[in-house]
Amino acid sequence: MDRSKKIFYENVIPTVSDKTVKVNFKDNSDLIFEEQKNTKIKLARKINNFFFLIVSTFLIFIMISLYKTYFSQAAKKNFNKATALIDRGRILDRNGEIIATNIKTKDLYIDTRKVLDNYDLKRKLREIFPEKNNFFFDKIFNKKHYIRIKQHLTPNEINQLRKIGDPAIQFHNSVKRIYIHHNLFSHLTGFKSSNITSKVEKNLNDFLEKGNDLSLSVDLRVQSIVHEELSNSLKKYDANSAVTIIIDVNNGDILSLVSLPDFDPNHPTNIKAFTENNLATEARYEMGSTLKIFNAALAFENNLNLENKKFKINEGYQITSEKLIEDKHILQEELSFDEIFTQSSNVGSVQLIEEIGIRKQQIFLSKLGLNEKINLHGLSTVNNKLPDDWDHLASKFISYGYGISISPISLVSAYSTLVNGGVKIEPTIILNSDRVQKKILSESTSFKVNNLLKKVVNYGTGKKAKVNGLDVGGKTGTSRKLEEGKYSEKKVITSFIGTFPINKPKYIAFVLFDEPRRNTEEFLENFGGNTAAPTFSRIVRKVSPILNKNNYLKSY
Amino acid sequence: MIKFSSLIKSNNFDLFIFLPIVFLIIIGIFGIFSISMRIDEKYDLLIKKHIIFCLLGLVIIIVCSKLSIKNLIIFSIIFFVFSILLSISTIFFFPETKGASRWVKLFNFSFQPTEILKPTFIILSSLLLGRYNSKKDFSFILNISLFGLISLILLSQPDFGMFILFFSVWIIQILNSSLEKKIIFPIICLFLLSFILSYIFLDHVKFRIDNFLFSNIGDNYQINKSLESFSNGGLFGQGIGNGMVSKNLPDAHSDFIYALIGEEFGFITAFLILAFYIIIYVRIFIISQITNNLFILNSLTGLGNILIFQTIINISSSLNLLPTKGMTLPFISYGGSSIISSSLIIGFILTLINNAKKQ
Repeated sequence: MDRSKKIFYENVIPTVSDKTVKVNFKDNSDLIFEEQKNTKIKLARKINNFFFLIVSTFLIFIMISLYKTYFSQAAKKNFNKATALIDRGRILDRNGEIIATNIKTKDLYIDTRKVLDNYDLKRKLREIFPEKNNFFFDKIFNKKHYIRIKQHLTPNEINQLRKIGDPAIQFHNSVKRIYIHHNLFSHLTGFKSSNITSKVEKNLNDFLEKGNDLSLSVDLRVQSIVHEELSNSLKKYDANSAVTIIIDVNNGDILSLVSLPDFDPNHPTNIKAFTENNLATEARYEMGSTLKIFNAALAFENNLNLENKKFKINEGYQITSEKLIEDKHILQEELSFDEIFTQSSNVGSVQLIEEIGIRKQQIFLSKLGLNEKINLHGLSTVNNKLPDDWDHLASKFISYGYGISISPISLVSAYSTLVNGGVKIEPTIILNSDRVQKKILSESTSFKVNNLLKKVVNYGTGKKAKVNGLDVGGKTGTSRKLEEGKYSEKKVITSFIGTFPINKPKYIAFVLFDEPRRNTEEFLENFGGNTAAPTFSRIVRKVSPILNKNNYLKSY
Repeated sequence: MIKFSSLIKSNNFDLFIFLPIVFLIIIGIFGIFSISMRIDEKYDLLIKKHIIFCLLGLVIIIVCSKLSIKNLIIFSIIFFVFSILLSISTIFFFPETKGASRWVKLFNFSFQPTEILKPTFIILSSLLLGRYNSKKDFSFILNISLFGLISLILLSQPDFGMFILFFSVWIIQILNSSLEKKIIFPIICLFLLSFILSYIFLDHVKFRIDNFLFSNIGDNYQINKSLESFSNGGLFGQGIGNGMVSKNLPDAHSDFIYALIGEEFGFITAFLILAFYIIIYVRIFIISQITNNLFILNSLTGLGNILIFQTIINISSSLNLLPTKGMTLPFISYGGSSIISSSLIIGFILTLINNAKKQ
């Protein structure tokens, strides 16, 4: 106060202007020493400032997170999760059978501060949970805290724990999502654990969270038959993986979708990564001969009148300067139009596409939807891989199923259009969902394609797909897998896509095996007919009575 | 009453610090009152004990703020030695209550002597640092050995949270007092090394840090409930005694009182509490910037830091920003030792501020 009074303007201005002031550095007042002290305290202040800034930043951060904790919707959602799970909608099949539902369980918590006898409780807990390792409980009891030991106790465990009677043992209500049929629908439902979800549980989470039951278009009976047959065949042929799709060709309902290997969604922690891919929608294959039927449809649709033409195949076809394609499995020199498909001739297919022309093929395949991603509500799908440079060469490869990778679901969808009278459908796994249908092919094309498919099964490579008492049509497919830039002789993909009843197709079933073991020295082209086709036959034999009751209930 | 008001006016009291403290104490009393309303026998005496300790705390603040610097130092030395002896005795004579041996039990009261170490050690440390700065003698070695002794006591109890608190405040003091590089560098290295080593070798530290860094929320019941309490609180809170979530929150009276207040008193009060701590901290910072005395600067920043760090650790752990530590919220959490220690800190701060202003 005193100092500030002294500082007036007049005081500051030198009263005598011409007087020079001498500054002595070595004066009595120890100016330099004072100066040093000041630098020290100034430095301390600077460092102090620095830490003040750090602390302030943290305080602001705390304020923001305080606000977030209070008001962010995401956080609220997180907390309501546990209570919301009990109201989470069930997943049902098309007949109302439960696929996934919730049950009430209890979780075990331990408050280590209330333990009466540490040693005794530890020993008893070890007896009840032998699966926990020895250090687990030592670690738990080393600290004072209130901690969860195990989720979803079994009734037996609860009984045993109650018998201990220690005040440290606490139960909290909890809810568990269970999948009644274990592996059966794993690639459709996915799984839901406390914080991870997948597939339908993830993609339709908002719908299920509101408590709505979700009806899938799949049929429990069909799915279980397919799953059983496919698993047996997978073992029999010693394949890496297998896929089956059964679809209603008229409205796109997927009645069954099995992809092996699969997993048990009840135990998310045990799931191995490679089993998690739904190969029916998330994988794409070079399908091979099954695509040849598109050439026929092309010819029919464009009225090219190739039906009576003969194709010479005995000399093979020089597709590139190095590669000569031959049909060693066919003994005839000349094939008729139909025989190209029944015998599954590669040379014939290439010759056919030369007649038809590349532009028409491009338009046709795009029209069928092979260039677009299938939008399967609830599941993720992959794009088909079309050739980057669709020239004449690529076109020829595509004519017998190479150079184009498509997902099983995409193939099934395209085939549906071919056989159902030319209506483009959207495959779906949700029952009664809105769907768009568009007529893109003529009825007659579809009729002719069906005839051809019937011939393939009756007289051609697909003989083993025959089903007693039911007329089916279909096409085999075998393709070599690309391995280090070369098409492998050993590793193949075999498939069969068939439709039934063939007179008025209602369903398509597609069976695919990845790398079935090839024991015999049979021709590659016949291989698909010997693995996928019999599996198709076995599946359809059992499934068709369920799907099409009228066929069998009709009295003769 | 008249005397009390004159006491405040007499420039002994820095109102920027004293008024927020009073507010915090009142909030704390309401919070503990809410807990004591629960129909549970063990909380019966809680509110009475808490009020007694709060009054005791106010008395301590007033008495301490009257001390001169010289008396403050003498007072600190006496209490420091006393509590060091008590702390050592806890290790040998009072083993294992509540999972850790840090409590002295006398009659019905249990007391945590390491709490008293907090303010007294900071005063001693800044005194020694000030001496070393001018005389360059054994005082720095004495300082290090005192800190080593405290670390040994804390780690053997074990009270890792308190150790971190001491360590960080002490390090900042040392950096503040602008020593030679040959001293500062080894200490910074030691600081980093000890963190890395404790992460590698101390299993529970590794576990906690891993758990905090890599695992999602939901494993820890306390944290989960704590976060839920805030979320349930809304802007104005559920009202005293109406907290549905914090009812099931263990340790709601000490480590997680902020969550309880957050639910029952709402966002505004929770924010105000934080704001008042910040006002205290900023005020201490401002005063420490104007002082020319290194001892006052060092003690003030040390005391201010210990207060704000404790607050940050407590609030952050109830907001799941930091792993849970057994750290109380100054003046709000229940706990005699904690309130007395915090009062000592504030009392010392008021004395130091008085002296800083006088310069």
